[in-house]
Amino acid sequence: MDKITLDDTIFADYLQYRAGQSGQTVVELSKHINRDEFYETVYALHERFMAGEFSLGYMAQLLGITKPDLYHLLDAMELKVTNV
Amino acid sequence: MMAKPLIILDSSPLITLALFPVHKPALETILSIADIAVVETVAVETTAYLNHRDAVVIKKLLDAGQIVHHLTPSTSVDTLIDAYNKVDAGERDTIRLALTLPNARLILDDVAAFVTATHFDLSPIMLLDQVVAWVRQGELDKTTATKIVTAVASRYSEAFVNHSKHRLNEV
Repeated sequence: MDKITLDDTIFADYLQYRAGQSGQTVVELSKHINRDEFYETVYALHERFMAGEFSLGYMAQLLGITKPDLYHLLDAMELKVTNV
Repeated sequence: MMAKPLIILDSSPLITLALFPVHKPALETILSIADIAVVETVAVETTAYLNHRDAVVIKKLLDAGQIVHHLTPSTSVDTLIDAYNKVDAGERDTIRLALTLPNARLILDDVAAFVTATHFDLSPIMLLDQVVAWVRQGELDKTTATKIVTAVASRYSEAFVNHSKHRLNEV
């Protein structure tokens, strides 16, 4: 099985983005990544990005996805992609 | 006929202009008033995954030569640029490109990259400020500019969006 159905499209998209980078399947990733922890991590990292602590590229790296994927993730979560 | 001014876009403003408004990406409007250049790193980064709508728009314009992509140039200050570790690779390469195209306007939406560019005597501008500038110069009509600012508003702070709209209303 290499597909999984998730009600949460944001989390599902994140797993897809991360699968594209890691080479792991969405199913494998979903076993190791907790949905609530994922949101907590994104919000915490985004706060640090907005404070100017690091770049979006670095945030994307920490989340295991590409920078363009992060733009789309943040858009979906209604979080700003610029820190001005 | 006068040549259009050249602008250099980093990935953030490039994706923003390709994504919004949904019915007609602002990139197509901007191309009627400016030539657009991007560095190879940004071209590759923004078109790597064609499952994103913006990536499809950007690739189409790159393939058609409407957006020109340049190989990452070497400069005499490469080591100094690379030392700014809060600036992403695409932005560092965009700064390199801007240093080799002194007549181009550099559009950056990342604070660290923006500040770094000024250290190299560049005069970057943020996308919304450039939209306002186009209206002030008579290059872009106010209605279209307001539509663009409204469409991309979710990506910028409320203060910056409201200020940009305020300045457009003053024109």
